[in-house]
Amino acid sequence: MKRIGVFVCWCGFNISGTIDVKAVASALADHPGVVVAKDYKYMCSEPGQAMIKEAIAEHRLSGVVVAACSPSMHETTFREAAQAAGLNPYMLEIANIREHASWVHPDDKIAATRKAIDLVKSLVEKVKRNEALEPIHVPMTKRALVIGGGIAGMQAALDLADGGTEVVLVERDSHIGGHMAQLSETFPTLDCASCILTPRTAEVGRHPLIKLHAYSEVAEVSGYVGNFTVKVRKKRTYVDWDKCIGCMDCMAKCPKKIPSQFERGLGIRKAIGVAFPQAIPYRPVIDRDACTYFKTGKCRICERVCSVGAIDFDQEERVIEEKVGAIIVATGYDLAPKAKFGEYGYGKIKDVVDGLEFERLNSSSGPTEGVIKRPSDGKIPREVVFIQCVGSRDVDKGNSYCSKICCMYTAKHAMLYKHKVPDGQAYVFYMDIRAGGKGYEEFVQRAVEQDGVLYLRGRVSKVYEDDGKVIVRGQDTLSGENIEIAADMVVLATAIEPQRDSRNLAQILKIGTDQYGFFNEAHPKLRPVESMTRGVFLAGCAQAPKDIPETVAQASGAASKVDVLFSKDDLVVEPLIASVDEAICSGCMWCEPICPYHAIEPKTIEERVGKKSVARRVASVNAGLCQGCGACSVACRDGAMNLKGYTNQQIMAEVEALCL
Amino acid sequence: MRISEDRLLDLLVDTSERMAVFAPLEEDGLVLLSPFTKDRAASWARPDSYVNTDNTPKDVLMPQTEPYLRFEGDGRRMAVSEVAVGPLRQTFVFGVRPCDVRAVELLDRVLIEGQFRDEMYARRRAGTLIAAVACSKPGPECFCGTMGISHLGPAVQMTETKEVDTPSGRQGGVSPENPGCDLIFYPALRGEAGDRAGTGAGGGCSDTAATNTQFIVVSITERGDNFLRENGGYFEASGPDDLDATVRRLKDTFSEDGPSSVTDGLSLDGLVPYLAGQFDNPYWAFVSRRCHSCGACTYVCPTCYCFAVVDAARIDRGVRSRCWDSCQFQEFLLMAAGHNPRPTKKERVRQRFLHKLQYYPEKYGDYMCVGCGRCVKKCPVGLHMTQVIYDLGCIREGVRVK
Amino acid sequence: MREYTASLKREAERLLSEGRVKTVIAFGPGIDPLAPIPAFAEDKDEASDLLVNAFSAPGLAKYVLDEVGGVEKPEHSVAVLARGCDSLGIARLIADKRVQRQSVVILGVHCDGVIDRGKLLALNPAFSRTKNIKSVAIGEDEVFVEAELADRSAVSLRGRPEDLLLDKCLKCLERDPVVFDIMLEPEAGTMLGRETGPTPVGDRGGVDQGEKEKSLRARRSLVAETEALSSESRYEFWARQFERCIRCYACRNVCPACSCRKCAFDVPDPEWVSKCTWLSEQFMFHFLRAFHVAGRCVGCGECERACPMGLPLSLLNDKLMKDVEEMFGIEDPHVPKESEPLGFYSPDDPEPWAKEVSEG
Ligand SMILES: Cc1cc2nc3c(=O)[nH]c(=O)nc-3n(C[C@H](O)[C@H](O)[C@H](O)COP(=O)(O)OP(=O)(O)OC[C@H]3O[C@@H](n4cnc5c(N)ncnc54)[C@H](O)[C@@H]3O)c2cc1C
Ligand code: SF4
Ligand code: SF4
Ligand code: SF4
Ligand code: SF4
Ligand code: SF4
Ligand code: SF4
Repeated sequence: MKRIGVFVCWCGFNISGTIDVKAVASALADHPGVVVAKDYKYMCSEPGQAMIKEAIAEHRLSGVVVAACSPSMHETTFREAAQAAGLNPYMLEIANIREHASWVHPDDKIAATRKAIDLVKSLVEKVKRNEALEPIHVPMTKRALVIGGGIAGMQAALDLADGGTEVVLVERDSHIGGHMAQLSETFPTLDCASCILTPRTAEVGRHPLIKLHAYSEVAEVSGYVGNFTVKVRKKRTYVDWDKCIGCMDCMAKCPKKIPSQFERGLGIRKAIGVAFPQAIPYRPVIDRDACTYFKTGKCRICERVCSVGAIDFDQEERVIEEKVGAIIVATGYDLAPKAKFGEYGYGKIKDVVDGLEFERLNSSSGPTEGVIKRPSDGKIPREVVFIQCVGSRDVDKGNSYCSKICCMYTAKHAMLYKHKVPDGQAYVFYMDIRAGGKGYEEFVQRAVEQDGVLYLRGRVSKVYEDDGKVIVRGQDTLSGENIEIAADMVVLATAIEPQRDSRNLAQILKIGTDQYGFFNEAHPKLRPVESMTRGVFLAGCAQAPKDIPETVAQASGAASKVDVLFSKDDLVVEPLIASVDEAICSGCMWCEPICPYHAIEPKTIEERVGKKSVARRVASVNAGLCQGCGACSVACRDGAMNLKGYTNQQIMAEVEALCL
Repeated sequence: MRISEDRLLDLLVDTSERMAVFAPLEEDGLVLLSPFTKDRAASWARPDSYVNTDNTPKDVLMPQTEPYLRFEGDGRRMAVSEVAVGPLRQTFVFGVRPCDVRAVELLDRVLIEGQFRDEMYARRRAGTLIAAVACSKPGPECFCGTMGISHLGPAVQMTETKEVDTPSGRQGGVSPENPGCDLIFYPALRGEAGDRAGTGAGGGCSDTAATNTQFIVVSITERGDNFLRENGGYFEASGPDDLDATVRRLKDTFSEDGPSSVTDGLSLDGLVPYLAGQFDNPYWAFVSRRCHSCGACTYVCPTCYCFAVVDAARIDRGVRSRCWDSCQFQEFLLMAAGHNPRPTKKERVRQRFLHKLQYYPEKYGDYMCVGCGRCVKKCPVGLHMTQVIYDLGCIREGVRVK
Repeated sequence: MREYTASLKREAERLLSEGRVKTVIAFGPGIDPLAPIPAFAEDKDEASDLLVNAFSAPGLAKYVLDEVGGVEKPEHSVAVLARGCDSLGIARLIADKRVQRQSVVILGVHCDGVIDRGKLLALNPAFSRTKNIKSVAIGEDEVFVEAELADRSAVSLRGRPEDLLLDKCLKCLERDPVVFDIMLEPEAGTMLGRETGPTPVGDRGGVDQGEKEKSLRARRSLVAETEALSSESRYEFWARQFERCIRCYACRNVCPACSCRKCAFDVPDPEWVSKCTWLSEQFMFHFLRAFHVAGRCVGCGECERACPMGLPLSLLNDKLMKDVEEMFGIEDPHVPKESEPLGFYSPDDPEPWAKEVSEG
């Protein structure tokens, strides 16, 4: 016999101001199966909880319904109280009569009260069919994978490793550091980027708990939180990195020069070598597309000069498997390609550069050794126009979002230019200035006031080349004047976009992206570093455009989330997951592709039919992966799939109670 | 007595003001014994326009869903009350074919005269006046004759030429105590009924078959007599020889085209004792293989009466109903603990045919099939009564069943 | 339909004698020449009784589930005769993982349509005394049937396809099997047990796109007609249909898309649908049935053919099929596919109703 207790909360005036709580309690007292119904001013308070606990003992309650606020507020509170009183916590349900009744019907007290009674009755009918459930324990591998070795990935890896967790760091490029390695100085302090970055990259490189796979990509991820199996594809470097001692004789002797990607085409590199002198790992890679040997079958100079015989032209791609319990995705961003912007010359005008190119031109280790020279003829530009919001906040170009950092780095660029070319003129076309952040507004003001950067509010309509000049036409919307500037160089603050292949990675990781391809966080406010898939976390620009401090903060946040996960002995999962009635299941596997979390797999069971034993396929749910969304249970035609805590029976009972 | 078809329709309309009337109505290409009201008179199916109704008098006497108890409780106490059973109004069913008349009588044997009287059925039956319409031509699936039933209804003996081995020996289904209906309408030709003087009841001006169709009406119960008396205005006296002439013609012309292929060559001789030894005949596994275990055959059968007790309950109240069930359903005998005494199609199909051809005759004296042909027509895979009777004949003669 | 019985028997005998299959599922004679019955041949004698002709109405797909379905490794294989509609049903069972492809040998056969016994008898009841079908020809615009009666006299009839063919055949989507192992060859020049005779009014054969388009149009226009009704008349229409349903479940039991071990209608708790035939339950039953086959119905028309109460079930199925086609841009929605539009998770599923709601 079911013995249900009902506890109606006033929530001060929040509920009792609209709902006749006494009437609710007395209506429920007459409901079949209810043995006690009480009301109280604040059920969540200590005395309120004590009232529930006492009633559980006194009336030997088999189930409890608390009529109060949203279960997202106090479900845990009350379930813990029930547990303390010896009742399985899953035998307690919340009827939300605040958000669902008193708050939404403040003007109709009678109807609100009637609705509250119905809601509570429906939960009573549900709780009659509740089952005692126990949390599920799943063992886990306390080892983390970090994808992307930019500042975000490095920070997360170091935080975890310093805390004693083994980390596998997979970087697609031949070196770590990401975009930060390309920056010259950084706002708002204008300290040199490599000065703060290289100690980090070096630390990552030598950390005993960090296993770095550079020049590698994640090919496949299977499993679930606590138990991922990751296939890492190690691309062909044509150099045996274990043998190589980093002497770079090969690089010195290689006769083939090619434009350097790291220098964004503004400098050159060799067909074999590292991208920049401080690269970690300091190991060379042969660019197969450029290498003379691969093109003509002749050369192999590097092989000859290598004293340790590390060059291996026949190297095969390798796929290795790593077992990890959590994944941090820190794959960063790309800049919108200049070719997208017809009004700025489709990237064909040499002296129209993007932000990262400007960073390289300004970098002391860059192609011009820190002297700002324009690419076309190497002259020092006298007039430089900076254009903000190129491709950002621009629905026509597909990005309606703000790239967030361009205001800041443009001010930085203009300032750095003025510092190096004090008699030059810097113009900035902007829509408005967004300089939220500690010391940021001051930074921009300094550019205007101390360095005399000319800020022009307005859009540039056209940029074209004329007689060695780059003509910039636009409008100052403040004065309404049309402006034409004959500049020596133009710097475009092109939009921060997701990595081109981010959707592909999202698919591998089974996480979501937004319409642009940035990875989706589980909750924009409350769970900003988690993805929708348990055990997969996000850091840095891969989630949304952000600057370094924010990137680092998010990376540390992600690392600590992993630490929290790993702090338990094993994985404890809520028992509110799907379960299969194998006697009914037809093994049609309709549920399998329906599951957004890939938690369902076929399995074969043996069963006796008459005197024979036959094998039959049924669905099985992986408790570690199932998030209890219920999609499978809805899709299962014969009702073999049921969601614990929300079984078909429970939901039907609720609906019937509401419809009665 | 005689009545023209048009006056008959008037009679139905008039009667429907006083009683619940069921009559054959056309609906989406079917003819169904349906509640008849003035508004629906336009869809009335004239008796010569169809062979038999797609549903059966069972729909009236034992509706598919029949609530009979209400209960209410609060978990401690429970109050039970009866839902009013039986027709609240007297019911008049018009247009029941002779096979179905016999079927009603077969139902009566089980549900009223049998060991356990079914009050709900009995009350409906007691309040229902049944008017049969005799058949002038068999439909392609009709085999009433094979089953020993007269197409002229319970008042007329079978055609002398056809001797049928019915277990009870009651040729023509005439059971003196319970004929199964109250009135019989014999379709008459012009000249047979009353319009010898050229004054058909239809007014004599129209020459169309519809308006000129006449019926000779005979009452075989007191209830029928009363009905005729009360509605005397609709009927005219028929001539002294009219009935004989009509019956003779109907007898002579009924089978003149010869049997249809589905009903030809069936023999029931000695079937009941034969079947008593055939429970384990491999034939049942053979024949049932094509069965889909639906309930079509049993639900359309006028003699099948299996039912289940169904509670529709919500929290503190509910209704208990009697609903049709079918022995062909896989779950029919499934027990709470999971045991199913008839787990496969073999047991279920065997049950259907042995019930009709052996168990019922052993217990109640007649076959529980009236040859209405509905299962012949409606089984989606041709697993029906005449096929099985035919197959059993082959087996008895040692011919391989195909 | 051309004469395929000879090659059917030949293949059946071969498959059985080679031990490749334990059973061959096709048709047998039955008591009524106008209604061949599903038959299961297990030896040479039984194989010699097999047949297929223009009166073979029942679908055969569902028997494959009965015979070898539902287990990982069936003890033996079966062969089954399959016209277009049968093959769709078999493909459905395979796609739904209820039958293993390798456990069934599909004997494909081209089909020009099946004659509706009821329609034929309504036009000329004399056919009910058929002893022997002498000739059948099914053409584009005309169907011809000739039979010998019990008294040796002959009877013949010429009529329009819509007056003589099964409704489902008038809406046929695949005349040739979509999946098969062996394609049966027609006997050269013969027409159903007759060497010579009237020239066939139309001897189609081969896949006919135009024919399929015609069927699709027929289905769509019926759907469009109901869609065009006011919601009140539409309710009235369906209420009348559903009220007539006797819940015999023939529609479900013949349906190749209804292959669950335990159907939701047979589950006692929760009781999705009560045995009580109140109108609300009737609606519930029919909604559930239609939705459970939505996106999976192969349009074989067996449900409608089997229904003893003449419910236009295809209309419901076709409506859902049309929605699937339009909302998800699925071509040939009746053909079972690796991945079905309603059978996987996608965050960008179309939600026209959500749009309707948001637009008020
Ligand atoms: C012109 C410019 C100037 C800037 N100046 C400043 C400044 O002064 N101050 C400041 O705070 N911020 C500045 N920023 C912003 C700064 O660059 C970013 O905040 C920071 O680099 C984000 O780091 P990240 O690790 O998220 O991404 P990234 O730096 O992009 O690193 C991502 C890493 O992941 C790797 N990767 C990508 N895909 C994969 C894959 N599938 N598998 C494995 N590895 C992968 C990449 O190779 C890369 O190494 C500037 C940005 C620009 C464009
Ligand atoms: S749980 Fe349901 S949907 Fe999944 S395989 Fe079993 S029957 Fe199919
Ligand atoms: S409840 Fe959701 S997450 Fe769990 S198995 Fe079902 S579909 Fe997958
Ligand atoms: S068994 Fe068939 S023919 Fe006989 S009464 Fe029933 S439905 Fe009619
Ligand atoms: S015999 Fe025919 S109608 Fe009866 S259950 Fe079997 S398939 Fe259905
Ligand atoms: S076959 Fe027809 S009568 Fe039977 S359940 Fe289906 S729709 Fe209803
Ligand atoms: S619902 Fe009807 S048409 Fe569709 S597959 Fe099933 S039986 Fe065939």
